[in-house]
Amino acid sequence: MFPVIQVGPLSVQARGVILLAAIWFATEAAERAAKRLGLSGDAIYNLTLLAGIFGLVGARLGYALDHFTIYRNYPAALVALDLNTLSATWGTLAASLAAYGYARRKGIASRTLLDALTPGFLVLAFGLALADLASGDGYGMPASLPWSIELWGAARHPTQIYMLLAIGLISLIVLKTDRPFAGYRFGLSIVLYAAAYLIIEGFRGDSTLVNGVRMAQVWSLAVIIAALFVLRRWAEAEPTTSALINP
Amino acid sequence: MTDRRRFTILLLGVIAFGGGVILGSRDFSARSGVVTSPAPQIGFVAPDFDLEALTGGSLKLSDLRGKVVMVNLWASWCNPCRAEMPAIDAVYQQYRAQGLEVVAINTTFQDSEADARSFVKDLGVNFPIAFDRDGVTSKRYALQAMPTTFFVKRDGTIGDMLFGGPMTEALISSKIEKLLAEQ
Repeated sequence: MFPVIQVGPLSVQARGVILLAAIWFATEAAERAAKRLGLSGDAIYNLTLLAGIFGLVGARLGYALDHFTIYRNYPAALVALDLNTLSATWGTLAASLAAYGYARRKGIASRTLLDALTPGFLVLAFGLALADLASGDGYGMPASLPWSIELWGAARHPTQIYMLLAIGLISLIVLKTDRPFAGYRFGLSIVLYAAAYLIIEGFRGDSTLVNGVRMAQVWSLAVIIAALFVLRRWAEAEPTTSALINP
Repeated sequence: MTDRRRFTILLLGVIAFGGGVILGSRDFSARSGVVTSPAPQIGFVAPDFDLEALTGGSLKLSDLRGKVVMVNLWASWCNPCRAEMPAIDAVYQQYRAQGLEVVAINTTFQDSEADARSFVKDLGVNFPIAFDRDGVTSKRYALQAMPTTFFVKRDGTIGDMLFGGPMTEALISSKIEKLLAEQ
C-alpha cells in the first residue's frame, strides 16, 4: 500500500496520480475506439477535455455548495489549489452534462458514441481500483487465505485485486465480442461491471449496511436489471436485430 | 421459445442469483457499529498515544473521547506544516467551544526539539503540541508524508484524513463541521 509517492521534496498522493494517469489513458482508448467506429477522434478528445474542465469546476462548486456556510466566509477558497475540496458526485454530474451537451451540439450523441467511450470507462474503472489498492481504500473483510493481503492490522480479502482482475476479464469480453447493435458494448460493460461489483462487495470490509444488507449490492442489482431492459429496448430498435428476433 | 420468454427467464435468473448473493453476504458484525481494531484508516479506531506535551504533562488521545480531535503530524523543517499552522489555530479558536480539540504531534524522532519549540514560539499557536520522540506514534499512524492530518470522531474512530498540505481554513472547517454535528 503506497498512499504517498515521494518525488524529491514533494509528497504526492498516489491516488491522485493514478487517477490522472487513468484519465489520460482512458481518453486515448476512447479516441482509438471512436476512429474504429467511424467517429472523429478529435471530437472525442474535445469531449473528454470539456468534460474534464467542467467536471473539475463542478466538483469545486459542488463541494462549496455542500459547505455553503463555510465558503460564504472564505470565498477565496473557491479558487484554492486544493484537491481535497472536490465533490466526486457533483464533478461526475457536471462532466456528464457537459459531455452530453457537447455531443448533442456536434451531432455525435448516439449509442455508437457510448460504445466508443466504453474502453475509456473500463480504463477509468481499472484506475479507480488501482487507486484503491494504493491508498488502502475499499479494503476486504478479514480472511486467512493463501492470497490474503496484510492491510489495516489483519489478513484480508484483496478486494481491490479482485476488482482489477474482474475489470480485466470484462474488458476482454466486451472488446472481443461482436457488436450486434449500437450501444451493445456499453450496455454489456455496465451489466458485467455491476455484476462484478455485486459479487466483490460481498467480500468488502467497509460496506455501508442496512440491517446487515450491503446497500451497494442492492444498487448493483438494480443497475443490472435496468441495463438489461435498456439493452433489450435497443436491440428491438435495430431493424436487423428486430428481424432476427421476430422473423 | 420467444424472445420475450427468454428475456423473462434471464431476468428471473439474474434476480435469483443477485438476491442469493445479497442474502448470502449479509454482515451483521461491523461497519454499522464501531470497528474496534485500531488503524490509521477511515472507519477504524484511531491508534491511541500518550505523549509528552510541550507545556508539560502528557497528552493521551483516549482521554479526549467525546470530542472531535484533529491529530496533525508535523516537523519544524516542513514548509507546508508551517504554512497551515495559522489556519489550524484559527479553526481551533473558532470551534473549540463546540468540542474540537487539536493535538499537533511533532515528529521529534526526525526533528530537533529545540527547533520545534522555536517553531511553536514563532507562530504563537494556542493548540496542544506533543512530542513523538521514539517514532512509535508516527509508525502507528503510518506516517509517509508531512503534514498528515487525521480527524477523529467523538467515538474515537477516524472520520477523515488528509495527506500533505497546507490546509486552508475552509478545508479544515468543512472536514470538522460535519463531525462536530454528529453526536
